[in-house]
Amino acid sequence: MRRTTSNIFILLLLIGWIIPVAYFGFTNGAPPWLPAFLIQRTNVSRLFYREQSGFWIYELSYRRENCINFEPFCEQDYFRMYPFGYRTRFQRFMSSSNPEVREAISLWIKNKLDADNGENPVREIRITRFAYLAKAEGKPTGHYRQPQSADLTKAVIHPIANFEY
Amino acid sequence: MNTNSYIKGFLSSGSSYWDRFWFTPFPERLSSIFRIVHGGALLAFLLAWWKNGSEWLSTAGFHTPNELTPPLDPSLLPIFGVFQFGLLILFIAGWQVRVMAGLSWLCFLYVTLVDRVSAYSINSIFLFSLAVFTLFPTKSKNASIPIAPVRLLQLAMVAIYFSSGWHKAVFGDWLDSPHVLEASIQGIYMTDFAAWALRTMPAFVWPITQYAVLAFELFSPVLFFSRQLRIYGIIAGCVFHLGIALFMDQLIYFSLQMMSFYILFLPQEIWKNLRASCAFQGSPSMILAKITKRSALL
Repeated sequence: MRRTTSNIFILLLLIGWIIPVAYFGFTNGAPPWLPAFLIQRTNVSRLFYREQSGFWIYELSYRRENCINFEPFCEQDYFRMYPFGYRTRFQRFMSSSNPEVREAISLWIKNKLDADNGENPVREIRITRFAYLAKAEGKPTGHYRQPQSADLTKAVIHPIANFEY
Repeated sequence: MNTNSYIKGFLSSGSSYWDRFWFTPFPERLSSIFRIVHGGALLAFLLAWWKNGSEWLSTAGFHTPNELTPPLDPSLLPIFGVFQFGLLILFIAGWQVRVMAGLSWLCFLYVTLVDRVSAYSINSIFLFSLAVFTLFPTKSKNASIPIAPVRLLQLAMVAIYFSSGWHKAVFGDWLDSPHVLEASIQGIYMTDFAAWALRTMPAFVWPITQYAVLAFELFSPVLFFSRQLRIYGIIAGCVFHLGIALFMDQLIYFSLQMMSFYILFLPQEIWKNLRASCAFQGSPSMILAKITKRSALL
């Protein structure tokens, strides 16, 4: 391998990855020279840096045609993957502040639920969230298990979105 | 005239330093051991995630619309799996390393982009290391390679540690509150072991551990680039990553990934003597003293 080629590759990896990784850590921002597609891939130094006393847990419920009551959506029926930590992809998508993502996931869930029970299609989907404070729950008895809002006496439920079909 | 000769001299010495830093010969065996262990960590990570492959990579699971990389049709999933695992196994086995690394990089880039919500630092770091294996030769007929790929991987590891530490200290709460670490392990990452530790360990353990972690990250350049201290850096790093693996769910793959980098910092003499059984005879303190002495010599 020619030394000039090696030098080009060295500079490429230094400027394109190693220096941006350090830059993110030192400045808390993205390097200005970095193309958009590399920003997420070099943002690896900003992990667990804040004291997080709690986080949001999202719940989805749906109402079928000719029904008055909402039924709770069981995440594990369609979201079985836990990408790091005991938290489904559903929760991670919902954590996104992008309303388009929430709308898309609601429509996807409606289609899945309709495929399982086409006679009573889903007409309305409601998304809510509540804050979970780990310390308020006392000493843990085992690994993290996602609580339901009904399990927590003091859970304040916040409506996030409502979709009618 | 004097200025010109001064500049010429400066450039010449800079150029020779650059050459020494990046192109000193390095034993191919060490880079091969790193490739096997690092590739093994990637293999373990992918195997664990493929349990939910259809949700993760195919249209059977939800994916955000209008992504650059669309999810696979479920019928194509087994074919993609054969490609991904086949290429990675060949890479680990050392067959056509650069080609296999490049193709594995493409497969891994796809799985990273198709489901960004499941892609984390571990993905970015594997993409970087596979890129290094693609761009630089790490196998050679004369048993040594230019050190450039090893230097890049070493720099990357220390950049990750140090910038993480800096960010925690300057932009985060790690110096302001002694409860950051304790709070971090209580949430969605909390394992059974972490829950047991939170119940039974005395409260002072958590702030001490927090400041020890921060010190390890902030002093990582000194710990890993000083030949005398390197072995202590490796020991501290192993303890740090063992803790992460035990306390935080599924972060064992991140721990395996980062610990594999330590191979590149081990003194070359250790590998030469590894075959000789006498290399590791004696009490743990004697072994540590022996390794430290060798680290200092190299």
